[in-house]
Amino acid sequence: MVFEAVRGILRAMDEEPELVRKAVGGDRRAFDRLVELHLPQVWATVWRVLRHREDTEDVVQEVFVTAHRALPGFRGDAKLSTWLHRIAVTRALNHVEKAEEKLRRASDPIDLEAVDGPRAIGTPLGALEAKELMRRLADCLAKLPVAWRAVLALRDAEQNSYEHIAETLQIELGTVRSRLARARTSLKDCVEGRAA
Amino acid sequence: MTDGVNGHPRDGLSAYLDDQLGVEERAAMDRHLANCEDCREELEALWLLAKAVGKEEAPPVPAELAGRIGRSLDAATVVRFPRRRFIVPATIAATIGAIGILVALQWREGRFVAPAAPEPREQDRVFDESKRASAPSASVATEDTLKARQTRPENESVGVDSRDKDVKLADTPVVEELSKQKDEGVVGGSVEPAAAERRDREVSKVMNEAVGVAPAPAAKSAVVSSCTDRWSDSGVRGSWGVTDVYEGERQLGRIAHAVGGIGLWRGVAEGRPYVVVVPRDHFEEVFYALRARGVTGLDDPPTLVEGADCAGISVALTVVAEPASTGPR
Repeated sequence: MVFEAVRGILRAMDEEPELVRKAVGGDRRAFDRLVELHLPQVWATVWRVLRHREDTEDVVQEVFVTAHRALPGFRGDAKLSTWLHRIAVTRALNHVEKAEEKLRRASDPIDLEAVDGPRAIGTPLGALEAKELMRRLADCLAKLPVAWRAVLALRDAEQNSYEHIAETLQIELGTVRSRLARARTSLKDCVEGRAA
Repeated sequence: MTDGVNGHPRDGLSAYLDDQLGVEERAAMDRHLANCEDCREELEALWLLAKAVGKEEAPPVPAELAGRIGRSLDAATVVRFPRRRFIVPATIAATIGAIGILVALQWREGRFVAPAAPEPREQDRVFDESKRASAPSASVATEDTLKARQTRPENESVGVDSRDKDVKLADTPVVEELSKQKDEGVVGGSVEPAAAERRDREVSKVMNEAVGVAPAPAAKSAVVSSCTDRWSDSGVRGSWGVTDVYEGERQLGRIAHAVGGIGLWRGVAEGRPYVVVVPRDHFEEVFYALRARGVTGLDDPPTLVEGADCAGISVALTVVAEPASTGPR
């Protein structure tokens, strides 16, 4: 099973340069194949930033439409996956920056009572069962500011380097460090039931 | 290193966890951790949490998403601007050819007169037939030239037809239907004549652009990207009975793209809404174009909220058993 998956990835890596070349030349079938190869990763990235299924569907569509339009300008300096990843993160953040989204999130602060219930206040992480930890984690991630959620997604979920995160989000290295620190601390406080 | 709360370097712990501290900072942190149980517990909690975030799986990709992306790309490809660029030279060439033939015919008859005004474009003719019939001609053509034009062999216009065939074949139902609705008085309804005329023009403009005769491709291209970036929900919720959902989506997508907007699918199965996202400047004309196409629930265009460059009109597509007169064919 694992070998099959690895073989699939290797096959995809082998065929990708040729697919990119054809797609840049306007071959729609080649682009469809690239969509097929990269859809799971783009979907996961966008979902981790937005944590909203319908919004994620919309943004993922936009990502590939944008990529298709911009493909003739793709010079191949970076890997296609890196290029798509950057489009995905940027589109997801732009989506959230829309006025009504800002308004909705601003009027929806982290409600610890709703997340944990009064009895759970101050529960250390280590004392939580795995299932309960994941449930609280999901609730708290959804309530974090999107900029913090984005760095958590890029670092802790996708294991990207600080340099890659800085380049993707177009921010300074020091900002990555401080934003990540604040995001992790707030997330921990929320999951433990302390004031965020 | 003591920039955190009560002398505890909380901010530094995160970077320590990722091995992002410099040599001196790291040594200082090591010394602090050796003597601070709170910070050791904090570090362990952060590590646990980072691991949990890494373990959390995204929901599976919806099975139909790849198909929707494909249809989005199809819709975008239908109104590809390079093809529009071709239409202008093709039309100019055909017009010059027609004038040349007229001149040649009259030269043969020994009577040369000034050439008639250029033929209107095929797309204009569809919508402006009645106006053209009643309006005084701007042409200086004599009776003979008119006769010559009437007796002109059919194949003289083949150049235009064959060149634009790919556009026309795909869009004939749209054009015919709009024209029919116009003839039947559907477009404009019971509104005042001036407003009806304005609306008629707007509908014609949108639909003409949808069939690929929109000018200024560069400007359109820029607008497309702005709609992808920022749009707000107009609150308009329409409904459209169609015989084929995908064909309905395709047509909505083309209307959106014709004015530099985008089309988005939402939800699944029958009754799913399709969002036509268009630049604010074109919102009203698209609103009326959709209404003219038979989209119900569109009473009056709302006042759009400030802030976004584009606004979305949600259209729920439902399958009707019999071919509806207003549905796509």
